Amino acid sequence: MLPKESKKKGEAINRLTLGQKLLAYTKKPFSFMLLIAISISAIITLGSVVWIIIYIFMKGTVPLFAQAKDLFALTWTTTNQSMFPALINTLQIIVVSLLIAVPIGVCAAIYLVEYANSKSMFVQSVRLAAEVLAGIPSIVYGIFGMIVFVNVFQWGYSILGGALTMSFMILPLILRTTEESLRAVPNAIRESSYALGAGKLRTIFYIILPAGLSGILSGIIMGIGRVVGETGALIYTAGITNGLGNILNGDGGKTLSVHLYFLAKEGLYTDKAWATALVLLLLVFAVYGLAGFVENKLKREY
Amino acid sequence: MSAFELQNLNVYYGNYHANKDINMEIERNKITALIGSSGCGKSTLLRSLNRMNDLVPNCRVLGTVLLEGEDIYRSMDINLLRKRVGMVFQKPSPFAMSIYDNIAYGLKTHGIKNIVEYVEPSREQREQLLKTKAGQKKIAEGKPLLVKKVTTKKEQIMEIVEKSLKAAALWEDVKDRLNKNALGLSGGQQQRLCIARSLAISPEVLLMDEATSALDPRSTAKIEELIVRLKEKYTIIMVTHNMRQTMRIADNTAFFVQGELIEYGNTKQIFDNAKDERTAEFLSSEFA
Repeated sequence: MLPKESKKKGEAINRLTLGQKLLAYTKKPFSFMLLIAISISAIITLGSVVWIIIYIFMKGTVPLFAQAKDLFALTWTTTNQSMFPALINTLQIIVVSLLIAVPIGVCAAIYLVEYANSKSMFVQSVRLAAEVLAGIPSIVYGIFGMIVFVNVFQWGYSILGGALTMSFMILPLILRTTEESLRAVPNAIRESSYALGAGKLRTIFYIILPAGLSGILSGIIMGIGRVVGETGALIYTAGITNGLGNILNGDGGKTLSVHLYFLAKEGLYTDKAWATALVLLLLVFAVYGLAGFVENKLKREY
Repeated sequence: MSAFELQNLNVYYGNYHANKDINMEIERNKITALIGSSGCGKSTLLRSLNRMNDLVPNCRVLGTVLLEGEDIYRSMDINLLRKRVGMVFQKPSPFAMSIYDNIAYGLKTHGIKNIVEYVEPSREQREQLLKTKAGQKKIAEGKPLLVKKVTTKKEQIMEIVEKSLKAAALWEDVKDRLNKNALGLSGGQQQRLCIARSLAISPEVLLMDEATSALDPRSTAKIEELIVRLKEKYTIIMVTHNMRQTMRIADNTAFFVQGELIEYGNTKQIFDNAKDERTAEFLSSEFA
């Protein structure tokens, strides 16, 4: 709809003021309702995230700094409720589960996209399996891990058992995101590489993987997110002892999320629970930051 | 002798017979155009010459294809074949890397080593050498005074990058931004980069699959000019839908209908005086 008053000199003729826009909407009430609905949805989405973050920062910052000496003590005691061992356990489980799941997931995706005939039964079943695995509740992985690693293998609660369970859990996620990102690489690029006389391996490692890198990285980040946030499956595999777990000697131990779960459940150290939540949040931010950094490093600057 | 010789070439996609009993010889250092309506099998034929069809899962190729007398399907390494027979595609497809790396990729693929040679020293080097004991010893023994000269991989690659970009008439456009992403180039520049990329590994034959169809007239003219210049060194086989282009630059023309080679010969002769009425009909409809 055309604005009533003519534009002043020097005013862009293709820009409407807010008043003019609102005036235009009076003729289209349904559009206006829709505008309000989608604006509210956007605000709620942003608001809920910001709310959680701000709330955790408000509640957690003061105890985190005031009790830093307790919270980051090298060994846990009933009075200091240190999160340090749990933090180290978390990092160990993240690293080990990624070391297992990422190579297998990425290689399986390469197989599915670059080697296998996409119509074969085998590929269909691998894809179906990945989809089913991705939908299984994490506690089922936990029970599986407990039966296999804790009982059958007789490892007891261990970091390795927890990490293996986590790698089972994130494998389908990494497989699927990598597969999608590799499939998105245009065929023309592949053919160009082959047409220059490059072999399959060179094409995959120099052309296709770099092109699918950001997709692979986002799969890894989502995987880390799931490991960091996992409680149930880890309670039954890595255990709930408060000490420092050790991947090498088979000691188990709880992760940060499990630690937080018990702090919150027992309700004795609420401020410490908030501080732990804040650290967990910062850990997730750090993972995002690291992933962005890695992506920039691996992708050459132009 | 011809660059390519096709004997009873048949290509199937599943049950679809895409090329039927093709027998033809493709002349060296000439531009050969493959023409015909869409789906007539000309691209399939082109892709059989560097075994690109092998990538299509249900594609079967029968017959014999000889490159300089060598059977490319039975007795040649596929990667080596593709080094000797380069290809430029319809859509420019530069890799998402720098202009320099796009060209260096093929070179690195086929391996490049430092070159070590012993050459005549310059005057200063000679004077320097004569001061050393080893130098005096060589003179006394009557051996020639030589200095070691190493051309590193990097130097060689840079040289080839420059040479290929010049050959593809792109050097002046990009010489100051070799480290910039190739995807930032215009469509015509990207296509010339793809040609440069193919030239860098010094092929014998260049296959062009509608290489100008996605480009604007000015870029097309530039690339046509380039193709004509390139035939001095390379054999060029191109698929095109552009009859005027064929007339302008192709030495020989092959006309296909539904997978069959209908007529093949000198371009001028075919365009002026086609032997087969299907050719004449096709050409007149194209020019109508």
